Amino acid sequence: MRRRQLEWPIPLLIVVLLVIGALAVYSATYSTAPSLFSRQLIYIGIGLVLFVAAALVPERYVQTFAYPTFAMTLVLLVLVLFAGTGPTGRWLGVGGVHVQPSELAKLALILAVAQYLSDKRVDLRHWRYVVIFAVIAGAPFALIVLEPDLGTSLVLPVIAGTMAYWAGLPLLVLVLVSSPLAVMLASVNPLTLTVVIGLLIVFAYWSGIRIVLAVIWGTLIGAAGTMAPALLERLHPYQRARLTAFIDPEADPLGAGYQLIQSKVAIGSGRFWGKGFLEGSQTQGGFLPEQHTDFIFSVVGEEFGFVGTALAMVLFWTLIIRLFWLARRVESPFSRLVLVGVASMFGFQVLVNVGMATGMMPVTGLPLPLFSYGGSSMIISLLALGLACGMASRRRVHG
Amino acid sequence: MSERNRHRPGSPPARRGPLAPMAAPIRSARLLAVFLVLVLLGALTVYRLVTIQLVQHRAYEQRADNQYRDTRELEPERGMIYDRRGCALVENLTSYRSVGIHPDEIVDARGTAELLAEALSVPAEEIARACEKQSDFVYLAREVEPGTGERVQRLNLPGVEVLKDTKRSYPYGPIGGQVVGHVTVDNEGGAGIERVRDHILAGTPGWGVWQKDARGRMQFDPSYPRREPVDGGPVTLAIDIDAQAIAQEELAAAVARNQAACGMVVVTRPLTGEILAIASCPEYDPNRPADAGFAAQKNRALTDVFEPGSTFKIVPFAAVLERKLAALDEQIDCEQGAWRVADRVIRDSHSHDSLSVREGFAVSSNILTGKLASLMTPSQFYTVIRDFGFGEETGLDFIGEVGGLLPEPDEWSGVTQANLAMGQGIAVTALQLAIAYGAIANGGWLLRPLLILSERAPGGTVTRYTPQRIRRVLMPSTARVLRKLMVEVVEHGTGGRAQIPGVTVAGKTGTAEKPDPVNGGYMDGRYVSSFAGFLPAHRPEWLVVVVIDDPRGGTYYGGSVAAPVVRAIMHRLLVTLPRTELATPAETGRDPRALPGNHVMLPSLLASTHGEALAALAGLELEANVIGDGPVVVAQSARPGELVNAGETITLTLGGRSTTGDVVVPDVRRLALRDALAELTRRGLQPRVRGSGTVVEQTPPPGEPAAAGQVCELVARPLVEALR
Repeated sequence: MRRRQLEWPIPLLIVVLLVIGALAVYSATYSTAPSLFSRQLIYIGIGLVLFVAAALVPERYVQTFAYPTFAMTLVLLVLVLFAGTGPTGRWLGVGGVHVQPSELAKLALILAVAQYLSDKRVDLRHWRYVVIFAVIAGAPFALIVLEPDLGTSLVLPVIAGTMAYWAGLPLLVLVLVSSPLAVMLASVNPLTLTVVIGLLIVFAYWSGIRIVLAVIWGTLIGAAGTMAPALLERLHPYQRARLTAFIDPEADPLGAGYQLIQSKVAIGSGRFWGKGFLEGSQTQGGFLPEQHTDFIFSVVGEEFGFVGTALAMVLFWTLIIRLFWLARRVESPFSRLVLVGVASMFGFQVLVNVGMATGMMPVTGLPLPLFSYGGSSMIISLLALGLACGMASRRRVHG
Repeated sequence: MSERNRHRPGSPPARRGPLAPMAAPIRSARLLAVFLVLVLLGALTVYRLVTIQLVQHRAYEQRADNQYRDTRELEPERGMIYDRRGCALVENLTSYRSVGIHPDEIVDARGTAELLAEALSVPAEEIARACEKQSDFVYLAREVEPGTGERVQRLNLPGVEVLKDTKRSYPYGPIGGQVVGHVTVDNEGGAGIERVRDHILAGTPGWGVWQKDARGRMQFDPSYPRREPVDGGPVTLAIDIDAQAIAQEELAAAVARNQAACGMVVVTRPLTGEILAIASCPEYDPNRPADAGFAAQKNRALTDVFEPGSTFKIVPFAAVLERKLAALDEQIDCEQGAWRVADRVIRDSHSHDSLSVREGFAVSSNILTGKLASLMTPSQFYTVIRDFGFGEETGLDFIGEVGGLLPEPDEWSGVTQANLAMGQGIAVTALQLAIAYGAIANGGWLLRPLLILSERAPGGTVTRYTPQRIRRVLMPSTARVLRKLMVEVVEHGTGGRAQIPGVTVAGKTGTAEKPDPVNGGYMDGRYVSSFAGFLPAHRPEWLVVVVIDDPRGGTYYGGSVAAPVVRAIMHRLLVTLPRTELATPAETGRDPRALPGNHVMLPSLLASTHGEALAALAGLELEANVIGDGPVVVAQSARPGELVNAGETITLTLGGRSTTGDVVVPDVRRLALRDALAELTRRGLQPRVRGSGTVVEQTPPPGEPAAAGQVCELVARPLVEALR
């Protein structure tokens, strides 16, 4: 039987996360740029309105707009390459409003992939469909890599890969398709490259891959590995340094390693209970640049301690697992895929951002959803969650 | 391909139709895989957080501490220096002398620039440019005029800082400058008391922890550890700044009048050894130490020696009379003014056939003095000289004090003993002379000179310095005889110009030839004129030693060069410092010539509370007898500054304003008129005065209750009259 049932845990989790995030932004901007907090509140307000609107939009309208939205996003991504503004050239200015098309691209990709994969004719066991899927997923990815915005660009293949896997893409194919990218990324460091290639060989042997395919695959990987240095050249030197600094931040404590060290110092010195709201010496002293955006998690760590960080992680994980769990419950394949896409988008961003703040991953400039200061990220996150929440509310109810 | 993969999700017959029943297990397997990965990664993240926040937190905390905490020294305030009456001889001025901006903290650059431009007289564009600078701090003006910094401070503009500067200032300038000294640019003792008592005055620096931000800006947080600085303790000197001013003025005038190279003056209270004034001329202003040479910074009265000449004759006379080697009226052959001793001839300025010992002192006969000295063995005479404090430091504990030059007896030639007797061949300081004459004045005790009365160490312990006897050098009777001889010097002899009508002055002149440092022997026509005197002769209160080095104004005799200076100083002291110490024996019931041995100097307990007064007396081992009723002490039975026997009972009269507004009339008799007026006014009484000088009568009498605003009549007389 079908029936609308309000999916209340998701809005509840979102509100609690938003409150913690807003407190963190308030603290991070308290002594340096207090005006940013009110702007963040406006973003949250807009985002919540869009959340409700998205939750109420009938699914078929969303499906109708999936491809047009995707096409428009591609246009914007092309535009930003030529007319990008802001310090990193990732913004597009439209009448005083600056938006980050790469943020929009995440949602557009989810919708487009969901639309494509939910088509009953699409069967990912056939190469034709896999290639089309790869083109859909690869286009925004390539455009964002060109910006270059490595952090955001990585979200797209992860979202698309998770959705395709959910939709039945054979694991072998997933590994085959994603391995060149993995090799490219791993090539920044000889150790990681060795580990990744070793894992791939073990996987290839275990899956009993045919020799022809293995040769083609090896060629692809080889090409990716060869191209990697050239692509890395395209990155700014600071971006390259940031990619490797997390392994040994002390090697350049005042340069590439500075943010990582400061973030760990802030989080570590927060201990179990934290130093208290607005009491964090590192946060209030402004020792960590970009703390209100990419490093917002360190504010939570310093001022609210392990209690705060663990609570945030539990809340995020509850939200993400809930989304995956709901994906199994809803009837419509489109909705299922959108839920999986949104969940994977959140999961990846939280993992990468927290990993970066705690020094486990390179500094990639991915915002922490619902926490980091910034309009595009906040609005897109809430919009995506709104869609997911609406679709989850139209799930099948047992009983 | 496994079988599971064939049943892919997203392939129901219709998009919104019911799910194929067989699809569920497929998704479950994939769901499980995704869950596993998610839980694994989530657990990894939480594990990382545990590591950082709960395991390695100490290292990160340490690192954070190093970054944001900054320990700064807190400067203590330098201790004050007071004169004996509590006049502050130093000031700690806080001035705001430099103005700068923190460009990144400026809120309104244009407004700030305009306001600052007006206050600092710096072009607004220049300030506006400074506001744009990528710098943490930019100086706009240094060494601004006094008041400017305070004005900027009051504007209270964000990002504008006025830097504080503490400066030691000496309100009396050159008066007492050589005693007080000065501080170096680092506010450390550079000379004088500032240097000698630096350990008292400097205080102990404290420290405080400040919170620092990434730009190095400091923020004070009261919850951070902090140790307050301990301010330097005050030092109270025996110096009386009025006496010091009088002494320096008269000395400077005399040095100018006599076209002398320099001069020295010492004023003491011979009963206690307290130094009321000590200075040399030329003087220097500690506010501008660099302007004066090092020579002017020295207090030559204790750092420079001279041959005293006849002022030294008191020593052989004292020795002979003490040992009864000659009687006062004994006639001594004066060899017609020329006495051959060994290979030298000793001459008198006026030739005499014979003189009595008494006459010989009055006319300052060299021959008679030499003959008296020859009545002793060299070692006897040497011992006497040493006993009087010559040839060694007085124990004042002051930078640069010297002990003078006194040859040992085995270095003496045939004429040395006679020469020493007339004050040649020995070098002394003016302070040594004052201490030696103090022994005559106080009845025979050589006292350690007292420059510091009390000081409080930064910790809080107060040290009071009381008069200290070094040794008895004379019997009181001998001292009395010598005082009479000195009175005759002033009344009939060489010291006539030290006479003050109405007061008996005792004194001795001295005129010494200056030794030639280059060729040996003595220089022609170069003299050191000196005079040592005290008054009143029967119960000396003040002792003044004046030394004029190399007078070139035509006259050079001590009696004509130095004696008038001593007279002028004493006369002005009498008018200016009408002291209660001049109370007659009948009033105090104590022998005025009582020895200062077990004596303590009574502080002023007026206006102290009952408890404070009792504590102060207990500290001095004095008993207290309290009468009257009221919150504060209004009268004390012995006067402030008076010497009282240890264990003596002091009667304190309590009074002062009670809750009904009534007061008790304080005892202002024998106080200087201005002090009396101040005391009455402070208690809300209205003084009405007849006469001037020292208060001799008061109506209503002390201890009487009076309503606030009641008239109190005072009769005052000049001290000279009051003493009669």
